[in-house]
Amino acid sequence: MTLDDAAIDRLVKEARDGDAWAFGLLFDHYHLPVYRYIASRVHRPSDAEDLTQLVFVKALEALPRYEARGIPFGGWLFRLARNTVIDHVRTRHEHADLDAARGQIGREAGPDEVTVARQELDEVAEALAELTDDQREALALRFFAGLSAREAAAVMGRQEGTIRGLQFRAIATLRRRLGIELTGTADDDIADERRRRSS
Amino acid sequence: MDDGMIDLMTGDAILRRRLLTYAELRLSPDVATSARIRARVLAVAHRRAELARADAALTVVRDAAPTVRVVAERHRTIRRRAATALLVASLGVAAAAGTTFAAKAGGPLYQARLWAETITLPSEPSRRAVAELERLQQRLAEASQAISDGDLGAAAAALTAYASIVDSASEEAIASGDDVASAILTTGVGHNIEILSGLVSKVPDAATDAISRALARAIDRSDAAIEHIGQGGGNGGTPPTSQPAGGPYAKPTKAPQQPGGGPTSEPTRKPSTGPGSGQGGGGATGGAPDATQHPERPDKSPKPTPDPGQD
Repeated sequence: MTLDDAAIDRLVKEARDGDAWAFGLLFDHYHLPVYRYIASRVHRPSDAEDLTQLVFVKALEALPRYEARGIPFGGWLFRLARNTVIDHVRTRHEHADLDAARGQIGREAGPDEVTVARQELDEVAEALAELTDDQREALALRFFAGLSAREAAAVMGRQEGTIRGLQFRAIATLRRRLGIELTGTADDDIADERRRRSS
Repeated sequence: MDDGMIDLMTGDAILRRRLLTYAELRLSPDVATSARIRARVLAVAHRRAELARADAALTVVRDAAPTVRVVAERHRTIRRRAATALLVASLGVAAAAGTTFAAKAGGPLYQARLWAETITLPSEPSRRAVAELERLQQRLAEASQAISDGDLGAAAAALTAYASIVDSASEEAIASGDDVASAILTTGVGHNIEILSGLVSKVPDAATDAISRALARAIDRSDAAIEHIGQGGGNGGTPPTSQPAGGPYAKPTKAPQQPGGGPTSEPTRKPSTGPGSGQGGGGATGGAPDATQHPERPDKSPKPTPDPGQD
Protein backbone atom coordinates (compact mmCIF):
# COMPACT_ATOMS: atom_id res chain seq x y z
CA MET A 1 0.00 0.00 0.00
CA THR A 2 1.47 3.30 -1.08
CA LEU A 3 0.60 6.57 0.58
CA ASP A 4 2.24 9.91 -0.01
CA ASP A 5 3.12 12.28 2.81
CA ALA A 6 -0.01 14.38 2.37
CA ALA A 7 -2.23 11.31 2.54
CA ILE A 8 -0.44 10.13 5.65
CA ASP A 9 -0.88 13.53 7.30
CA ARG A 10 -4.56 13.48 6.48
CA LEU A 11 -4.99 9.95 7.83
CA VAL A 12 -3.09 10.86 10.98
CA LYS A 13 -5.42 13.79 11.55
CA GLU A 14 -8.51 11.65 10.99
CA ALA A 15 -7.17 8.90 13.22
CA ARG A 16 -6.42 11.47 15.90
CA ASP A 17 -10.04 12.54 15.67
CA GLY A 18 -11.08 9.00 16.48
CA ASP A 19 -11.47 7.54 13.01
CA ALA A 20 -10.61 3.85 13.34
CA TRP A 21 -10.77 3.32 9.59
CA ALA A 22 -8.05 5.91 9.03
CA PHE A 23 -5.90 4.25 11.64
CA GLY A 24 -6.44 0.95 9.85
CA LEU A 25 -4.96 2.43 6.69
CA LEU A 26 -1.98 3.74 8.62
CA PHE A 27 -1.54 0.27 10.05
CA ASP A 28 -1.62 -1.23 6.57
CA HIS A 29 1.02 1.20 5.40
CA TYR A 30 3.45 0.75 8.28
CA HIS A 31 2.93 -2.67 9.77
CA LEU A 32 5.33 -4.56 7.52
CA PRO A 33 8.37 -2.32 8.05
CA VAL A 34 7.61 -2.07 11.75
CA TYR A 35 7.28 -5.83 12.04
CA ARG A 36 10.51 -6.38 10.10
CA TYR A 37 12.39 -3.94 12.27
CA ILE A 38 11.11 -5.59 15.45
CA ALA A 39 11.66 -9.11 14.11
CA SER A 40 15.26 -8.22 13.40
CA ARG A 41 15.71 -7.14 17.02
CA VAL A 42 13.99 -9.87 19.05
CA HIS A 43 14.33 -13.62 19.28
CA ARG A 44 10.98 -15.10 18.51
CA PRO A 45 8.35 -14.45 15.86
CA SER A 46 5.70 -14.54 18.60
CA ASP A 47 7.50 -11.67 20.34
CA ALA A 48 7.65 -9.75 17.08
CA GLU A 49 3.91 -10.23 16.69
CA ASP A 50 3.10 -9.12 20.21
CA LEU A 51 5.46 -6.15 20.09
CA THR A 52 4.17 -4.99 16.71
CA GLN A 53 0.68 -5.04 18.13
CA LEU A 54 1.87 -3.19 21.20
CA VAL A 55 3.54 -0.49 19.09
CA PHE A 56 0.35 0.24 17.19
CA VAL A 57 -1.78 0.22 20.31
CA LYS A 58 0.69 2.63 21.93
CA ALA A 59 0.54 4.76 18.81
CA LEU A 60 -3.23 4.77 19.06
CA GLU A 61 -3.07 5.93 22.65
CA ALA A 62 -0.40 8.54 22.03
CA LEU A 63 -1.87 9.86 18.81
CA PRO A 64 -3.86 12.66 20.45
CA ARG A 65 -0.57 14.03 21.75
CA TYR A 66 1.29 13.60 18.47
CA GLU A 67 2.34 16.76 16.71
CA ALA A 68 4.50 16.70 13.62
CA ARG A 69 7.06 19.28 14.81
CA GLY A 70 9.45 18.26 12.09
CA ILE A 71 9.20 14.57 12.89
CA PRO A 72 7.17 12.72 10.31
CA PHE A 73 4.65 10.19 11.53
CA GLY A 74 6.81 7.30 10.32
CA GLY A 75 9.78 8.48 12.36
CA TRP A 76 7.57 8.96 15.40
CA LEU A 77 6.15 5.46 14.98
CA PHE A 78 9.58 3.88 14.68
CA ARG A 79 10.70 5.72 17.76
CA LEU A 80 7.81 4.08 19.58
CA ALA A 81 8.87 0.76 18.09
CA ARG A 82 12.46 1.24 19.18
CA ASN A 83 11.45 2.17 22.73
CA THR A 84 9.09 -0.78 22.86
CA VAL A 85 11.88 -3.15 21.84
CA ILE A 86 14.21 -1.61 24.42
CA ASP A 87 11.56 -2.00 27.14
CA HIS A 88 10.99 -5.57 26.06
CA VAL A 89 14.67 -6.39 26.30
CA ARG A 90 14.93 -4.76 29.72
CA THR A 91 11.84 -6.50 31.02
CA ARG A 92 12.82 -9.91 29.79
CA HIS A 93 16.43 -9.44 30.86
CA GLU A 94 17.46 -10.68 27.48
CA HIS A 95 20.31 -9.53 25.39
CA ALA A 96 18.17 -9.42 22.33
CA ASP A 97 20.49 -7.09 20.48
CA LEU A 98 23.36 -9.50 20.58
CA ASP A 99 21.29 -12.52 19.85
CA ALA A 100 18.67 -11.05 17.59
CA ALA A 101 20.02 -12.41 14.39
CA ARG A 102 21.14 -15.66 15.98
CA GLY A 103 17.57 -16.17 17.09
CA GLN A 104 16.62 -16.55 13.49
CA ILE A 105 19.24 -19.19 12.86
CA GLY A 106 18.04 -22.75 12.65
CA ARG A 107 14.42 -21.70 12.59
CA GLU A 108 12.00 -24.16 11.03
CA ALA A 109 12.07 -23.56 7.30
CA GLY A 110 8.81 -22.38 5.77
CA PRO A 111 7.56 -23.54 2.42
CA ASP A 112 8.93 -20.42 0.77
CA GLU A 113 12.37 -21.38 1.85
CA VAL A 114 12.29 -24.61 -0.07
CA THR A 115 13.41 -22.84 -3.18
CA VAL A 116 16.04 -20.84 -1.38
CA ALA A 117 19.04 -22.49 0.10
CA ARG A 118 18.37 -22.36 3.79
CA GLN A 119 22.06 -22.28 4.37
CA GLU A 120 22.27 -18.91 2.66
CA LEU A 121 19.73 -17.46 5.04
CA ASP A 122 21.54 -18.88 8.02
CA GLU A 123 24.77 -17.38 6.78
CA VAL A 124 23.16 -13.96 6.56
CA ALA A 125 21.78 -14.38 10.09
CA GLU A 126 25.21 -15.33 11.39
CA ALA A 127 26.80 -12.41 9.61
CA LEU A 128 24.24 -10.01 11.08
CA ALA A 129 24.99 -11.41 14.51
CA GLU A 130 28.57 -10.27 14.16
CA LEU A 131 27.63 -6.63 13.74
CA THR A 132 27.62 -4.25 16.68
CA ASP A 133 24.27 -3.31 18.16
CA ASP A 134 24.34 0.10 16.55
CA GLN A 135 25.38 -1.23 13.18
CA ARG A 136 22.64 -3.83 13.23
CA GLU A 137 20.03 -1.31 14.28
CA ALA A 138 21.09 1.16 11.60
CA LEU A 139 20.97 -1.58 9.01
CA ALA A 140 17.56 -2.78 10.22
CA LEU A 141 16.10 0.72 10.07
CA ARG A 142 17.63 1.53 6.73
CA PHE A 143 17.23 -1.74 4.94
CA PHE A 144 14.61 -3.91 6.62
CA ALA A 145 12.32 -1.01 7.53
CA GLY A 146 13.23 1.11 4.51
CA LEU A 147 13.83 4.40 6.33
CA SER A 148 16.01 7.12 4.91
CA ALA A 149 19.26 7.98 6.66
CA ARG A 150 17.62 11.10 8.06
CA GLU A 151 14.65 9.16 9.43
CA ALA A 152 16.90 6.47 10.87
CA ALA A 153 19.01 9.17 12.50
CA ALA A 154 15.91 10.70 14.06
CA VAL A 155 14.77 7.34 15.37
CA MET A 156 18.16 6.49 16.87
CA GLY A 157 18.80 10.02 18.10
CA ARG A 158 22.04 10.30 16.11
CA GLN A 159 23.45 12.46 13.37
CA GLU A 160 22.70 11.49 9.82
CA GLY A 161 26.41 11.14 9.12
CA THR A 162 26.76 8.75 12.02
CA ILE A 163 24.06 6.54 10.57
CA ARG A 164 25.78 6.50 7.21
CA GLY A 165 29.04 5.54 8.89
CA LEU A 166 27.41 2.73 10.83
CA GLN A 167 25.75 1.52 7.69
CA PHE A 168 29.00 1.63 5.72
CA ARG A 169 30.86 -0.41 8.30
CA ALA A 170 27.97 -2.85 8.64
CA ILE A 171 27.94 -3.48 4.92
CA ALA A 172 31.70 -3.91 4.83
CA THR A 173 31.48 -6.47 7.65
CA LEU A 174 28.66 -8.36 5.98
CA ARG A 175 30.46 -8.39 2.68
CA ARG A 176 33.60 -9.74 4.27
CA ARG A 177 31.73 -12.28 6.39
CA LEU A 178 29.69 -13.55 3.46
CA GLY A 179 32.62 -13.57 1.09
CA ILE A 180 30.95 -11.20 -1.32
CA GLU A 181 33.00 -9.07 -3.63
CA LEU A 182 31.78 -5.89 -5.20
CA THR A 183 29.79 -6.49 -8.35
CA GLY A 184 28.51 -3.99 -10.89
CA THR A 185 28.91 -0.27 -10.80
CA ALA A 186 27.15 2.22 -8.64
CA ASP A 187 25.17 3.45 -11.62
CA ASP A 188 24.02 -0.07 -12.44
CA ASP A 189 22.85 -0.56 -8.92
CA ILE A 190 21.03 2.73 -8.72
CA ALA A 191 19.21 1.93 -11.93
CA ASP A 192 18.44 -1.54 -10.65
CA GLU A 193 17.13 -0.15 -7.38
CA ARG A 194 14.94 2.37 -9.16
CA ARG A 195 13.52 -0.38 -11.40
CA ARG A 196 12.78 -2.51 -8.37
CA ARG A 197 11.09 0.33 -6.53
CA SER A 198 9.02 1.41 -9.50
CA SER A 199 7.81 -2.12 -10.10
CA MET B 1 10.73 5.46 2.91
CA ASP B 2 12.32 7.72 0.35
CA ASP B 3 14.94 7.47 -2.28
CA GLY B 4 17.54 7.77 0.40
CA MET B 5 17.82 4.04 0.56
CA ILE B 6 18.91 3.89 -3.05
CA ASP B 7 22.42 4.55 -1.97
CA LEU B 8 22.20 2.01 0.79
CA MET B 9 23.67 -0.92 -0.99
CA THR B 10 25.27 0.80 -3.91
CA GLY B 11 27.89 -1.32 -5.58
CA ASP B 12 26.77 -4.53 -4.02
CA ALA B 13 23.89 -6.16 -5.81
CA ILE B 14 24.54 -9.59 -4.39
CA LEU B 15 24.58 -8.46 -0.79
CA ARG B 16 21.47 -6.39 -1.35
CA ARG B 17 19.66 -9.35 -2.88
CA ARG B 18 20.64 -11.64 -0.04
CA LEU B 19 19.48 -9.17 2.58
CA LEU B 20 16.22 -8.64 0.73
CA THR B 21 15.62 -12.38 0.58
CA TYR B 22 16.47 -12.65 4.25
CA ALA B 23 14.04 -9.86 5.12
CA GLU B 24 11.26 -11.37 3.07
CA LEU B 25 11.64 -14.93 4.29
CA ARG B 26 12.84 -14.51 7.85
CA LEU B 27 11.57 -11.14 9.00
CA SER B 28 8.17 -10.82 7.39
CA PRO B 29 4.88 -11.81 8.98
CA ASP B 30 2.73 -14.33 7.19
CA VAL B 31 -0.79 -13.46 6.15
CA ALA B 32 -2.37 -14.93 9.26
CA THR B 33 -0.01 -13.06 11.56
CA SER B 34 -0.68 -9.76 9.83
CA ALA B 35 -4.40 -10.40 10.00
CA ARG B 36 -4.23 -11.25 13.69
CA ILE B 37 -2.30 -8.12 14.56
CA ARG B 38 -4.58 -5.97 12.44
CA ALA B 39 -7.75 -7.34 13.96
CA ARG B 40 -6.50 -6.83 17.51
CA VAL B 41 -5.24 -3.33 16.87
CA LEU B 42 -8.42 -2.31 15.10
CA ALA B 43 -10.57 -3.81 17.81
CA VAL B 44 -8.82 -1.46 20.22
CA ALA B 45 -9.17 1.43 17.77
CA HIS B 46 -12.91 0.85 17.38
CA ARG B 47 -13.33 0.56 21.11
CA ARG B 48 -11.49 3.80 21.73
CA ALA B 49 -13.40 5.58 19.01
CA GLU B 50 -16.67 4.49 20.47
CA LEU B 51 -15.66 5.49 23.98
CA ALA B 52 -14.60 8.89 22.69
CA ARG B 53 -17.96 9.38 21.03
CA ALA B 54 -19.76 8.24 24.14
CA ASP B 55 -17.75 10.65 26.29
CA ALA B 56 -18.52 13.49 23.93
CA ALA B 57 -22.21 12.75 24.25
CA LEU B 58 -22.17 13.07 27.98
CA THR B 59 -23.37 16.34 29.43
CA VAL B 60 -21.76 17.51 32.57
CA VAL B 61 -24.20 19.12 34.92
CA ARG B 62 -22.58 21.14 37.59
CA ASP B 63 -24.07 21.49 41.01
CA ALA B 64 -25.33 24.84 41.96
CA ALA B 65 -22.88 26.79 44.01
CA PRO B 66 -23.28 25.91 47.67
CA THR B 67 -24.85 28.49 49.83
CA VAL B 68 -23.12 29.79 52.89
CA ARG B 69 -23.60 27.52 55.87
CA VAL B 70 -22.72 27.64 59.49
CA VAL B 71 -19.49 25.74 60.07
CA ALA B 72 -20.73 23.82 63.09
CA GLU B 73 -23.82 22.67 61.29
CA ARG B 74 -21.70 21.46 58.40
CA HIS B 75 -19.49 19.44 60.71
CA ARG B 76 -22.49 17.80 62.34
CA THR B 77 -23.89 16.93 58.96
CA ILE B 78 -20.58 15.43 57.86
CA ARG B 79 -20.36 13.32 61.00
CA ARG B 80 -23.93 12.09 60.56
CA ARG B 81 -23.30 11.20 56.95
CA ALA B 82 -20.06 9.44 57.77
CA ALA B 83 -21.78 7.30 60.38
CA THR B 84 -24.61 6.47 58.00
CA ALA B 85 -22.18 5.65 55.23
CA LEU B 86 -20.21 3.39 57.55
CA LEU B 87 -23.36 1.54 58.56
CA VAL B 88 -24.50 1.14 54.99
CA ALA B 89 -21.06 0.01 53.92
CA SER B 90 -20.95 -2.61 56.66
CA LEU B 91 -24.33 -3.96 55.68
CA GLY B 92 -23.30 -3.84 52.03
CA VAL B 93 -20.14 -5.81 52.63
CA ALA B 94 -22.04 -8.45 54.58
CA ALA B 95 -24.69 -8.71 51.88
CA ALA B 96 -22.11 -8.75 49.13
CA ALA B 97 -20.18 -11.51 50.84
CA GLY B 98 -23.30 -13.63 51.08
CA THR B 99 -24.31 -12.86 47.53
CA THR B 100 -20.86 -13.56 46.21
CA PHE B 101 -20.83 -16.91 47.93
CA ALA B 102 -24.24 -17.76 46.54
CA ALA B 103 -23.28 -16.54 43.07
CA LYS B 104 -20.19 -18.73 42.86
CA ALA B 105 -20.12 -21.33 40.13
CA GLY B 106 -22.67 -23.96 41.04
CA GLY B 107 -24.20 -21.74 43.72
CA PRO B 108 -27.92 -20.96 43.87
CA LEU B 109 -27.45 -17.50 42.35
CA TYR B 110 -25.00 -18.56 39.66
CA GLN B 111 -27.57 -18.66 36.89
CA ALA B 112 -28.88 -15.27 37.95
CA ARG B 113 -25.37 -13.90 37.79
CA LEU B 114 -24.86 -15.29 34.31
CA TRP B 115 -28.08 -13.70 33.22
CA ALA B 116 -27.10 -10.39 34.81
CA GLU B 117 -23.87 -10.43 32.82
CA THR B 118 -25.80 -10.54 29.59
CA ILE B 119 -27.66 -7.36 30.49
CA THR B 120 -24.50 -5.32 30.50
CA LEU B 121 -23.13 -6.67 27.22
CA PRO B 122 -22.40 -3.88 24.76
CA SER B 123 -24.46 -3.75 21.61
CA GLU B 124 -21.65 -2.90 19.23
CA PRO B 125 -20.46 -6.23 17.74
CA SER B 126 -16.70 -5.98 18.28
CA ARG B 127 -17.06 -4.70 21.83
CA ARG B 128 -19.64 -7.37 22.47
CA ALA B 129 -17.25 -10.03 21.18
CA VAL B 130 -14.57 -8.73 23.53
CA ALA B 131 -17.03 -8.77 26.43
CA GLU B 132 -18.18 -12.29 25.57
CA LEU B 133 -14.57 -13.43 25.48
CA GLU B 134 -14.06 -11.94 28.92
CA ARG B 135 -17.09 -13.88 30.13
CA LEU B 136 -15.68 -17.06 28.63
CA GLN B 137 -12.36 -16.43 30.32
CA GLN B 138 -14.17 -15.92 33.63
CA ARG B 139 -15.87 -19.28 33.19
CA LEU B 140 -12.51 -20.90 32.48
CA ALA B 141 -11.04 -19.29 35.56
CA GLU B 142 -13.98 -20.53 37.64
CA ALA B 143 -13.64 -24.03 36.23
CA SER B 144 -9.90 -24.06 36.84
CA GLN B 145 -10.34 -22.83 40.42
CA ALA B 146 -13.12 -25.32 41.09
CA ILE B 147 -11.03 -28.21 39.77
CA SER B 148 -8.12 -27.12 41.95
CA ASP B 149 -10.45 -26.95 44.95
CA GLY B 150 -11.96 -30.32 44.14
CA ASP B 151 -15.38 -28.73 43.78
CA LEU B 152 -16.61 -30.78 40.86
CA GLY B 153 -20.14 -29.41 40.88
CA ALA B 154 -18.83 -25.89 40.48
CA ALA B 155 -16.46 -26.98 37.71
CA ALA B 156 -19.27 -28.68 35.82
CA ALA B 157 -21.49 -25.62 36.22
CA ALA B 158 -18.78 -23.29 34.93
CA LEU B 159 -18.02 -25.53 31.96
CA THR B 160 -21.69 -25.87 31.08
CA ALA B 161 -22.01 -22.10 31.23
CA TYR B 162 -18.92 -21.81 29.02
CA ALA B 163 -20.44 -24.08 26.38
CA SER B 164 -23.64 -22.10 26.41
CA ILE B 165 -21.88 -18.74 26.13
CA VAL B 166 -19.60 -19.85 23.29
CA ASP B 167 -22.67 -21.00 21.35
CA SER B 168 -24.53 -17.75 21.77
CA ALA B 169 -21.46 -15.60 21.19
CA SER B 170 -20.66 -17.30 17.88
CA GLU B 171 -24.25 -16.92 16.74
CA GLU B 172 -24.19 -13.24 17.64
CA ALA B 173 -20.90 -12.66 15.85
CA ILE B 174 -22.20 -14.30 12.70
CA ALA B 175 -25.50 -12.47 12.86
CA SER B 176 -23.78 -9.13 13.34
CA GLY B 177 -21.81 -9.49 10.12
CA ASP B 178 -18.94 -7.71 11.82
CA ASP B 179 -15.51 -8.78 10.60
CA VAL B 180 -13.64 -7.65 13.67
CA ALA B 181 -16.08 -9.37 16.04
CA SER B 182 -15.69 -12.65 14.18
CA ALA B 183 -11.92 -12.36 14.19
CA ILE B 184 -11.80 -11.53 17.89
CA LEU B 185 -14.00 -14.44 18.78
CA THR B 186 -12.21 -16.92 16.54
CA THR B 187 -8.79 -16.23 17.95
CA GLY B 188 -9.99 -15.90 21.52
CA VAL B 189 -11.91 -19.16 21.46
CA GLY B 190 -8.95 -20.85 19.77
CA HIS B 191 -6.82 -19.78 22.71
CA ASN B 192 -9.49 -21.01 25.12
CA ILE B 193 -9.26 -24.47 23.59
CA GLU B 194 -5.63 -24.59 24.59
CA ILE B 195 -6.58 -23.68 28.15
CA LEU B 196 -9.37 -26.26 28.22
CA SER B 197 -6.99 -28.92 26.92
CA GLY B 198 -4.59 -28.00 29.69
CA LEU B 199 -7.37 -28.34 32.28
CA VAL B 200 -7.98 -31.94 31.27
CA SER B 201 -4.73 -33.01 32.85
CA LYS B 202 -5.65 -31.30 36.12
CA VAL B 203 -8.85 -33.23 36.68
CA PRO B 204 -8.53 -35.44 39.77
CA ASP B 205 -8.70 -39.16 39.08
CA ALA B 206 -11.71 -39.62 41.30
CA ALA B 207 -13.86 -37.46 39.12
CA THR B 208 -12.65 -37.91 35.63
CA ASP B 209 -15.88 -38.93 34.00
CA ALA B 210 -18.21 -36.06 34.69
CA ILE B 211 -15.66 -33.29 34.46
CA SER B 212 -13.84 -34.71 31.49
CA ARG B 213 -17.11 -35.00 29.65
CA ALA B 214 -17.88 -31.40 30.48
CA LEU B 215 -14.41 -30.35 29.34
CA ALA B 216 -14.70 -32.34 26.13
CA ARG B 217 -18.10 -30.78 25.51
CA ALA B 218 -16.71 -27.28 26.07
CA ILE B 219 -13.85 -27.99 23.66
CA ASP B 220 -16.22 -29.42 21.07
CA ARG B 221 -18.45 -26.39 21.32
CA SER B 222 -15.43 -24.11 20.95
CA ASP B 223 -14.31 -26.03 17.87
CA ALA B 224 -17.81 -25.89 16.47
CA ALA B 225 -18.03 -22.15 17.10
CA ILE B 226 -14.79 -21.51 15.25
CA GLU B 227 -15.88 -23.67 12.33
CA HIS B 228 -19.29 -22.09 12.34
CA ILE B 229 -17.85 -18.60 12.10
CA GLY B 230 -15.40 -19.80 9.49
CA GLN B 231 -18.06 -21.32 7.27
CA GLY B 232 -21.14 -19.22 7.54
CA GLY B 233 -20.03 -16.69 9.43
CA GLY B 234 -17.45 -15.30 7.35
CA ASN B 235 -19.66 -12.28 7.28
CA GLY B 236 -18.94 -11.78 3.68
CA GLY B 237 -15.24 -11.62 4.36
CA THR B 238 -12.70 -13.81 2.69
CA PRO B 239 -10.34 -16.06 4.57
CA PRO B 240 -6.65 -15.52 3.98
CA THR B 241 -5.83 -17.07 0.67
CA SER B 242 -2.63 -18.65 1.85
CA GLN B 243 -4.36 -20.47 4.64
CA PRO B 244 -5.79 -23.94 4.41
CA ALA B 245 -9.54 -24.32 4.29
CA GLY B 246 -11.02 -23.50 7.58
CA GLY B 247 -8.33 -21.06 8.39
CA PRO B 248 -5.29 -21.32 10.57
CA TYR B 249 -7.31 -21.40 13.73
CA ALA B 250 -10.06 -23.67 12.56
CA LYS B 251 -8.68 -26.48 14.68
CA PRO B 252 -6.12 -25.06 17.04
CA THR B 253 -5.90 -28.18 19.13
CA LYS B 254 -7.59 -31.49 19.22
CA ALA B 255 -10.25 -32.05 21.81
CA PRO B 256 -9.31 -34.69 24.29
CA GLN B 257 -11.28 -37.79 23.49
CA GLN B 258 -10.33 -39.83 26.51
CA PRO B 259 -11.40 -38.66 29.92
CA GLY B 260 -8.46 -37.75 31.97
CA GLY B 261 -6.17 -37.70 29.00
CA GLY B 262 -3.84 -34.81 28.40
CA PRO B 263 -3.89 -32.49 25.48
CA THR B 264 -3.13 -34.28 22.30
CA SER B 265 -1.40 -31.57 20.42
CA GLU B 266 0.84 -28.65 20.98
CA PRO B 267 -0.74 -25.25 21.37
CA THR B 268 -0.81 -23.53 18.04
CA ARG B 269 0.75 -20.35 19.27
CA LYS B 270 1.84 -18.53 22.31
CA PRO B 271 -0.97 -16.65 23.97
CA SER B 272 -0.66 -12.99 23.22
CA THR B 273 0.58 -10.81 25.98
CA GLY B 274 -0.13 -7.54 24.27
CA PRO B 275 -2.62 -5.04 25.48
CA GLY B 276 -5.10 -6.07 22.90
CA SER B 277 -5.23 -9.47 24.38
CA GLY B 278 -5.95 -7.98 27.71
CA GLN B 279 -9.17 -6.79 26.28
CA GLY B 280 -10.09 -10.01 24.76
CA GLY B 281 -7.16 -10.84 22.62
CA GLY B 282 -8.99 -11.20 19.41
CA GLY B 283 -7.50 -11.64 16.05
CA ALA B 284 -8.37 -12.15 12.46
CA THR B 285 -7.93 -15.72 11.59
CA GLY B 286 -9.59 -18.69 10.27
CA GLY B 287 -12.89 -18.07 8.72
CA ALA B 288 -12.67 -14.53 9.78
CA PRO B 289 -12.25 -12.18 6.92
CA ASP B 290 -8.84 -11.47 5.61
CA ALA B 291 -7.98 -8.41 7.55
CA THR B 292 -5.15 -7.64 5.24
CA GLN B 293 -7.56 -6.98 2.45
CA HIS B 294 -9.19 -3.63 2.54
CA PRO B 295 -12.12 -2.99 0.33
CA GLU B 296 -13.27 0.53 -0.28
CA ARG B 297 -14.72 2.14 2.74
CA PRO B 298 -18.46 1.52 2.55
CA ASP B 299 -19.75 4.65 4.15
CA LYS B 300 -16.81 6.66 5.36
CA SER B 301 -16.30 4.42 8.35
CA PRO B 302 -17.88 1.40 9.93
CA LYS B 303 -18.53 3.35 13.07
CA PRO B 304 -20.54 1.42 15.57
CA THR B 305 -23.54 2.91 17.25
CA PRO B 306 -22.59 4.91 20.32
CA ASP B 307 -23.54 3.09 23.43
CA PRO B 308 -22.74 5.38 26.31
CA GLY B 309 -24.49 3.36 28.88
CA GLN B 310 -22.41 0.29 28.41
CA ASP B 311 -19.05 1.46 29.59
